[in-house]
Amino acid sequence: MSYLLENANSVSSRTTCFNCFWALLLLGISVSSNAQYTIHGTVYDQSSGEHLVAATVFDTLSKAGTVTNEYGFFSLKTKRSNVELNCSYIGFSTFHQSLQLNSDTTLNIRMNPNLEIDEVTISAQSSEREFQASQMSAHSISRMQIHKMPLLFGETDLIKALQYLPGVSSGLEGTSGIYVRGGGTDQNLILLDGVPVYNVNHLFGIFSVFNGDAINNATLYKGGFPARYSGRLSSVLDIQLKEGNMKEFHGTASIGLIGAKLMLEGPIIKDRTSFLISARRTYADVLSYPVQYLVNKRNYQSTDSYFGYYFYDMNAKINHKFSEKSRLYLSTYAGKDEFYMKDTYLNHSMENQEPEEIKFKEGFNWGNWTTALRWNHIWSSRLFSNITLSYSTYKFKDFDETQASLMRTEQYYSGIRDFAGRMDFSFSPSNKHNIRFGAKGTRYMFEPGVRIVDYHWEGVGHGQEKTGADTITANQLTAYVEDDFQLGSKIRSNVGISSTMFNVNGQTYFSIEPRISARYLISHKLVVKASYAKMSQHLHLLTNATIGLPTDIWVPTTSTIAPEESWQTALGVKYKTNTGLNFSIEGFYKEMKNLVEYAEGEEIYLNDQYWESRIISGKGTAYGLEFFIEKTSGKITGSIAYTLSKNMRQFDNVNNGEPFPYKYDRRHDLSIVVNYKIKKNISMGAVWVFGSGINVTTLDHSYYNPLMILDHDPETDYPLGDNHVIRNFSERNGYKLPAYHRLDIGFNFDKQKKRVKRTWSVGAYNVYARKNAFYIYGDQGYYSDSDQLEKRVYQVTLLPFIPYVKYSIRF
Amino acid sequence: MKLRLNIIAIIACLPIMVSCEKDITEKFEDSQQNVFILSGELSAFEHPTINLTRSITMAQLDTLQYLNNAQVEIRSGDQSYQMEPGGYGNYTSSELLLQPGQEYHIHCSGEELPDASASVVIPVLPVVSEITLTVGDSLDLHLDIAIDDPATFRDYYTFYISGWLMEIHVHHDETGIETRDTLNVFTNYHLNIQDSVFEYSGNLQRFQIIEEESRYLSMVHFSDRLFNGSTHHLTVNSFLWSFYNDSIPEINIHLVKHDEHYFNFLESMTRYDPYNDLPIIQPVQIYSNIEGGFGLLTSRSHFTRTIDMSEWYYDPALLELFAK
Repeated sequence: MSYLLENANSVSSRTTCFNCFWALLLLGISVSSNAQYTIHGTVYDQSSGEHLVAATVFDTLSKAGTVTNEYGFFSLKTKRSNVELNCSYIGFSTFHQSLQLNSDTTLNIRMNPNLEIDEVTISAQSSEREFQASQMSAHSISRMQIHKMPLLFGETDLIKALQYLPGVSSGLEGTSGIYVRGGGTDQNLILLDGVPVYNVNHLFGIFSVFNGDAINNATLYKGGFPARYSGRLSSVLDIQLKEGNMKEFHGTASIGLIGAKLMLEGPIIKDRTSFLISARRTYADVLSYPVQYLVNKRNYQSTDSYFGYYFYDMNAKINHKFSEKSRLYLSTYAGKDEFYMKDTYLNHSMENQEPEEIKFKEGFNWGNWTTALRWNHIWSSRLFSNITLSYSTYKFKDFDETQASLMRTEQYYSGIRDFAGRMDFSFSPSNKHNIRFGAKGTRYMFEPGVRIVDYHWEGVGHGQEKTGADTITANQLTAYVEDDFQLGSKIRSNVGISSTMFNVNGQTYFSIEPRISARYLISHKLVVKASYAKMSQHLHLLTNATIGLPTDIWVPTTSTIAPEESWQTALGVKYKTNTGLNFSIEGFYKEMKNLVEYAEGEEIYLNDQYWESRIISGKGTAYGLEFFIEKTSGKITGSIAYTLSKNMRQFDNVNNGEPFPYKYDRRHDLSIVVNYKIKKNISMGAVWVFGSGINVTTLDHSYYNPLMILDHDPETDYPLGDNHVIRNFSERNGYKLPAYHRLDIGFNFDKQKKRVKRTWSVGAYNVYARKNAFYIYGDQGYYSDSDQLEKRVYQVTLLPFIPYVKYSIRF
Repeated sequence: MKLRLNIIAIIACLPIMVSCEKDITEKFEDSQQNVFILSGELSAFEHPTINLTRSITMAQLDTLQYLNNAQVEIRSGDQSYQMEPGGYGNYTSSELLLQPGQEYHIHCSGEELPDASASVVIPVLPVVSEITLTVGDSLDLHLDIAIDDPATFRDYYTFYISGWLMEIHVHHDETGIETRDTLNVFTNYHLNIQDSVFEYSGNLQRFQIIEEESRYLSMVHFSDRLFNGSTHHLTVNSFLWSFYNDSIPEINIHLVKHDEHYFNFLESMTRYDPYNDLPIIQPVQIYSNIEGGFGLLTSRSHFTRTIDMSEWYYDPALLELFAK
């Protein structure tokens, strides 16, 4: 429901409606509130001092219960003076305490890890929370689950683990993109400790930027979005980093085929301040240097050429506890990829002069930097707040530098920056209501593409040329309120609304996004859930490639580019058994409009003022059914996810305006994940995926240019001029590649040494070397096997079989 | 930077280096069928002529194959005419003279190919109400062409000036003595349009000048988007010597009105890169209005005016300039 703000009166009337909604909501809550005592506090891990998210706090006498929020805070009201409080959490012994209340009480719970309980066995509790919640279309994944998955090139990857969930499609072979319920990768709001990350790809998507060792947990929302999330159409991935151990020093280190990682955490001041730092870097460039040195020495006497590629990323976090009611967090992430070539040689071309040494370097790099300062405060037993200041930036740079008598540097860059301030409040007037409200202000700076040439010529002078698009600034203000409330014993609902004002180039867009999700408990084993969500997106990612390239450019909504909008509705049932089996079926329908992309054939680099005219817009529809079976207890655990869906696009300027399938419209998508604890110290993980082939636009016919053929040369019978053959491609995404499937298997061998626990991880990606099609192409030429001119069609497979080995220690 | 764009693409395809490929030619030999390629530009007050060739499938060699044994019918209202083959894939009907404002439907069959068809409407003649040519003291030439545009649908125009140009060739013999001779070349003169008639402006320059090799040298394509339903003065500035030819002292002013198909085709061709075969880049689809096949059937009506340049070509000042 985005539209251009027309006048102040219209704003005023909408604001009034908005205020009325809040007032009525709060009034209703205050009327319903009649509890006598409130117990509130924070649930901690006794061993590390970190707070525990989504721990269940339950009074067995009054049957009242609640769960901790993302900062471990809970608030529980009771009408009784005596309570029997239980607190449970994955992997921890249940906490129990009897209390005799005569006033509101603060209770900070410190839970002990239960080493006897298998980590996956306890994940049944997690499923129970998801079963009871009003939230639907959401999946939580923990660090432990990520580490159990088989690896590609020996690197754990959160994003790849998410690809095995229903409703989530993978992109091209081996890449880390996720396509959620028909949306593109740019429609995923990816939050790292609450800060948006704009490019999640290392090495063009082979790896994601998230270091598995630093992640605490992550939640993916595919629909039924709570009002506190906004800004993207298709999904929210909320990643929480570990906080750092308040009690003891710990760490992990690993070395794999392409890189190494280190993570350290511990107290700076015991029980007051902790730190966490993790870093990883690839070392293919370093290892290849000696080889390149020898090649240079042997082949090129006068040159010294090197090329290389690396990426690194680093997470750091400091967590300080002022009191039991007040905490401060400072977290940062920095990551960079760089590909470079450097060359040093002697220039002999200057007559009558000594040869001049020329140093030349060129390459390109890209990276994110995010940082956040957060302050949690418990104002009262009912009110909790979180205030965040954040900065996030993504930049791509292409450069070349020449150092000689003529110094010349040329660079092209594009990127996005944002500064944001956010206030979130959680208010629990009763056990039946949990209200969240807040506001966020963001200032964006977009740089769609700038080229700068600097030169300095000895004895002549220096200068600079700058061309390209101007920096665009935009301001966004978002406010939301949501109430998660209980109606009777069977119905629980989350109703909310989010509104956004987006101002760019003097124009203001206004959007109101209602959200509702609800569950109805048919029995204690069967629940029905439904949701509706409207979303809008003012940031657009321009790409004409079919994978995430670092050259992709974020641009804002402008006077000619409308905000992207979607609405989605979903209906589902969940059924659980006593044996740790959970079944769920969800159906969804989603419509999207004002989707944008580059016009066909446009350059990847934007470096002029007219970039808006290169963009086309269209709409999309996606619908489907998702089946999910999960086994959470026993020696064998795992899941089966199957999605049956259809995903279409329609752009007036593409495919003659006819609808066409989205590239990653996989009609069938099946993932089977199995984890098997073979022995106490040996575990196995296996994943088998099967999916309909992706849709590609491929060459299907060639023909001679119709205009030129009318002027053909009668002597040669051929059209005049060059390039007269037109390669005609199929309808957009009109060719479906063969079905995709592969099996990955990995084994972990643990051993507890004196001071460390070491793990050898071995396995392989695509174990049976399935030749999955990446693309097809035709090639005309003389072939040695037939010795004649022929045209052949080839299917290219990317990753036929990739083994891995990794060594890691934990201390 | 373009070079590094390719590098990026190559690096993006790094996994291809550990990839393998499989010959699947057989699959395409069985599954793909050739189709008609229909090419035609139907002009007002002329006999219809089209050309037929056969498409080349993924597994076939790039060879041009004219089709001379197809059945081609052109229909307008209740009237239909067979178009007769004339060699090199050309078909024409000498019975029919195409009329502006009329719709024509062409249907092709035979040659063991699926039927193909297309329809076009011949545009009404473009109206040029006035042409003014002036030459200033500095031999600068100024052309003003008044186009009366009807306030109906979107109209698409192509403008160009053709004529004979005198090229001067300088030779040196073995002793170094210089001699000059002249050669008359028929050409489209390069244009310098002064006003805003183009679909796009700025650096994009789409439709401003599209050089189609060997067919036209310099043409300007534009629509009436900026002057629909009004009289628009198209202004061209140049210098007299740019058009000079004293033996054939005339130039031809052309204003062609096209249908939308022609412009859609040109627009897609401007973005088309025949050498782009990177699998990660979305390819450009070339516009076609042929049902059951590919190609382009378009229509046009043509306004031409010849201007005698004698008055200016024999200007003493210009002759003096050439003598130097």
